This record gives sequence, C-alpha cells and structure tokens, in this order.
Amino acid sequence: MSGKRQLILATVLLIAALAAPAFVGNYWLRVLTTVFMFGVVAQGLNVIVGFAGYHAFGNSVFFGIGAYATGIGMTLGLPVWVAIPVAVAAAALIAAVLGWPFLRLRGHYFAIATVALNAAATEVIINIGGVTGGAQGLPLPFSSLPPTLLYRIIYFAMLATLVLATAIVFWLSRSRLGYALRALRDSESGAEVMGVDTVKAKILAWTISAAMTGSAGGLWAYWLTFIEVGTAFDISISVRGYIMMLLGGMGTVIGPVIGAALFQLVGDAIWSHFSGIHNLLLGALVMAVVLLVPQGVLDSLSRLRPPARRPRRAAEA
Amino acid sequence: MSALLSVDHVGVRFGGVQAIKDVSFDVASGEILGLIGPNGAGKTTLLNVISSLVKPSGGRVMFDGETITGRKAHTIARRGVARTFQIVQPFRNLTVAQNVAVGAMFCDAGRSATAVAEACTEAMEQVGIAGKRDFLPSQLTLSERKRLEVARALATRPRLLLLDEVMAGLNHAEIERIIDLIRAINRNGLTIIVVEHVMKAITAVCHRAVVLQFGEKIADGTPDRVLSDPKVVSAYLGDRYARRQVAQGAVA
Ligand SMILES: Nc1ncnc2c1ncn2[C@@H]1O[C@H](COP(=O)(O)OP(=O)(O)OP(=O)(O)O)[C@@H](O)[C@H]1O
Ligand SMILES: [Mg+2]
Repeated sequence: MSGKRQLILATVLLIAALAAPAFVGNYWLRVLTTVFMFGVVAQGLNVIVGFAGYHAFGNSVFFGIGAYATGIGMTLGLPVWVAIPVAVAAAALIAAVLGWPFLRLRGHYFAIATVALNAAATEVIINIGGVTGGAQGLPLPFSSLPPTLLYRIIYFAMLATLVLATAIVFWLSRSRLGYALRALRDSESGAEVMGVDTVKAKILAWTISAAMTGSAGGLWAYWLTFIEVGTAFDISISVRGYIMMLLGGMGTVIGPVIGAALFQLVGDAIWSHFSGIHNLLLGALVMAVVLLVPQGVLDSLSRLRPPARRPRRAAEA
Repeated sequence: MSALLSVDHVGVRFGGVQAIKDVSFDVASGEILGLIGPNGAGKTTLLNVISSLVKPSGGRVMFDGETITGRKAHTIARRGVARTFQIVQPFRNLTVAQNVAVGAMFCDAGRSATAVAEACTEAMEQVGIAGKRDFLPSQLTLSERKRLEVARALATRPRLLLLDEVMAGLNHAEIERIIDLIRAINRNGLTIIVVEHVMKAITAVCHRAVVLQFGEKIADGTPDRVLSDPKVVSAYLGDRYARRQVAQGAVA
C-alpha cells in the first residue's frame, strides 16, 4: 500500500479512535484500549523485527520492565506521569546496554537470548522481593479519580502512545537509520562494506523497540493497578504482538496497528461465540493468515487493484 | 610510485586451513591490479581481509599510509575502500535506487539528500542500470545484478575498489561491457583490484597481476609476463587455461 493511502487510512482510524469514547460503553472502551496497547507492542516488534530482521521473541521483557518500573516508581511516591517516562527510560537503557552483547548474535541465537532474558528477568523480580512485591505481585497506589474518567484518560494515553510509536515508525521508514536497518536485514556484511555501522544501528533499533514496549507495559500497570511477574513478563504478549505485526505487514508503517485491531477484535468475537474452542479457532486463523497473506493484509489489499505501475520485467528475465 | 594499499605479510587461518600464507604486495595509486588463482586459492579471503570482514591471523594491511587491520568494516568503507561480492548480496527488499542510495548515504555523513540522490543517479548511469531504478533486485538479470553491485560500491565514492568476479557467468558482450566500465572508472583515477577467472579481461584491463595458489603468492608482474610464467601455467592455469589456449589456437 502506498505511503499516501497508508496516511489516509491512519487519519481515518485516528479520527474514529478519538470519537469512539463518546459512543461506546465500558466494555468497548476496554477492548479498544487493549487494541492500542498491543498496537504499541506490535510497533515495537516492527522496529526490531520488521526493519532490522532480528527476531525479538522475548520483547515482552520490556513490557514487564516498563510495568514493574512504573509500579515501583509509584510505590516510592512518584506521580504516574513521572513514573512511566522513568520506566520507559529504564527499558530503553537496559536494551541499549544488553544490545551490545546480544546483537552480536545473529539470527536464532538472538531470538533465543531474548526469550532467556525474559525468563531471567522474571526470576530476578521474584528473588529481589521487597519493593517488587516478589512472587506475591505488586499493587499500585489507587488513583483518586472516578473510574469513568480514569479509564478515559488511560484510553487516550494509550492512543497517544500508539500514535507516537507509529509516528516514530513513519520517521524510521524515511530516515537514514531506517535505510541502515533494512539494508542490514537483507545483508549484514553488504551493509557494513557500504559504511553502515550495523552494531550501532541494531542497538538503536532495539532501544527504540524497548522504549515502545516499555511504555505499553507502564500504562498497562497503571490501568490494572495490580501486577504479577506471570502476567507482566508473559511471553504471549510478544507472541501476540508478533502475530499482529505479521498479520498487518511487517516493515510497513501502519500494518502492525491494523494487525492489532484485526487480531484483537476478531479474537474477541471468537471468544464470545465459541468460548470452548476459541484457541483452536484462533490458531487456525493465524495459520490461514500466515499461509494466505504472508506479506500482511495491507499488501494484500493493495494487490486487489490492478498492478498498473508494477514493473513486469521478472516474467521476461 | 606511491602505494595506496599495502598487504604486508598477511596470513589467514580458518581452523586447520591456512587460507592465506604470508602474502605481501602493494597497489599503487591509479593502478588496476589483477588478483588471480585457481578456485580456493584465497582471493576472496584476501579481499575480505582488506575490507575487514575477516581478521587476519598475522600481518597487516595499510591503506593510504595507515594500518587498517583490526578496524571495523564500516570505518574502512568510509575511508574509501569499496567492494563487490562474488555472490551478489543486494538488499533484496530495497529497489535498485535504494540499494545504491545506501552506498551514497553512509560513506559521507555530511552528504545532503540531494547529494545522495545525485551520487546515486550518477553511479546507476555509469553502470547502465538507471532505467531499472525502481525495480527490485530479483527482477534484474545476472548481468544487471553484477552491475548493481558495482553501482553500490561506486556510490560510496571510493578511492580503492575491490571487484570479486564481476564477470563470472556473463556472456561475451556483457564481459566487454564490464571491461569498458572498469577502464572508464579507472580513468577517473580510481585504484582497482580485479579478482577474475576470465583471463582475457585480466590481460585487457590490468596493469599488473598477482597470482595466488593455495594461499601463497606465486607470481607478481605484468599480466603477459605472469601468464606466460611456467610456474603459473603449470601450477594454476595448467590444465584448464593451457588446454583452452591450445583449443583456441587450433580453431584459429
Ligand atoms: N569462512 C570460512 N571458513 C572456513 N574456511 C574458509 C572460509 N572462507 C574461505 N575458506 C577456505 O579458504 C580457502 C580460500 O577460499 P576463497 O574463497 O578465498 O578462495 P577463492 O580464491 O576466492 O576461490 P574462488 O575462485 O572459488 O572464489 C578455501 O579453502 C576455502 O574453503
Ligand atoms: Mg572467491
């Protein structure tokens, strides 16, 4: 899908999202907030997987770090608007520091290392105990705001985070860093001999990715008011984000957002109608998507039109 | 004669294999040097050492008076050493123009977007793929893909260009075209190392040739002298080239 059409689609979706709270009840408000949250997680993956080609399956670690750093910060008395940015900075810093050893690993080793990191972080939180709440979980200070207002604030904060994440991906798609990442994704040594500092580019990408994922985790913690390691560092957060990114189209600007909406809304519909076998249906749906629209739905949509300007040399060559 | 590049007692070991043994030679500024030798002689490995994709186990490489051994590959590229890959490595999800733009973009951080676009167009025109700028690499012929490799390297505005078998798999007309291209870019002052199995190209464009066999340098001199060196003929060209020479002589 062309950049222009992606921009139009994004604008329409944004207007709908801004207007929605005036028309929907609490149930849909919650569903949409969840869509935005996963949209941010999917964009975070898009940066490191879609652009750089590094499969960060364990990126949920930054969701957990964002959640716990927010929880701990607020427990220590920081207001939420300070606690979440601090948590985002913490997630980004950890990615930047660990990126140096981790991103020297290529391919599957990096993917496995991120999963191991997620598991290790879980153990660390449990064993530190004290301010993390350990295995008991961590309750966050209650907000004095009335719930209807609070949930609307969280809705708009999550939406703003998603818009910001998408704007960053848009910038990335046109920036030198974006070129560096797409180049090294296709050929790391090819990029190096053309002057790309691949290690630096990969670390920057993972840092941006971690910041996005951490911000979703921080808002989530504030929203839930009680967090546990099992749910904050749940690897299925990144697995879902991954599927959403694939569904919408990785490496595109708004694909991951579309993917998050489709997956979450369809998943919800399936959940309510076929509660017994919803995982089976969801699994079948995922397989169908990966097999039938491997480039993501954005790409498939644009292929529905006649490919007027697509060069056709391939057939002749 | 000032040496732009000095390969100084370089050795490379891969586990038990000594791929390069104590190889030394200089490349003068403005020179086209042919680097030849049978399959597995170590030619690609030597280019990898120069562009720092492979660390030598001994010796050093000097470029423009400075030791570059141990530097990161991207810093060497930014200093002006560009290369192509024997097995072409295009960025397959980027268009031809974007592929070339990467080269223009990173080797001179100060370059503006317009300057990048200009360097990019110039490089594509030079190799004759400007008409394919919006194509994906998978839509190119082998010859075009080889030229894309050259365009990407040229877009970095290098001072030394390493060409690893850019003629392999091409037909006569395509080889002639690359020969003309190599001559043209050398005329602008670019120093070039050409790794090639196509002997007529070596004699046609190279000022000098270095021959490797089993990782060792066995000859160094003008292409004609090197190719008629009995050691080279028997050790390297022995079978294949000698027989082909005989066959060609018989036909002519
Ligand atoms: N990364 C590597 N690991 C182990 N051995 C290697 C590696 N790269 C090259 N070699 C070995 O080093 C030797 C030299 O290989 P190289 O590719 O440099 O030869 P070449 O002269 O370029 O050959 P060709 O003409 O076939 O391209 C070979 O024996 C090869 O198997
Ligand atoms: Mg080779």
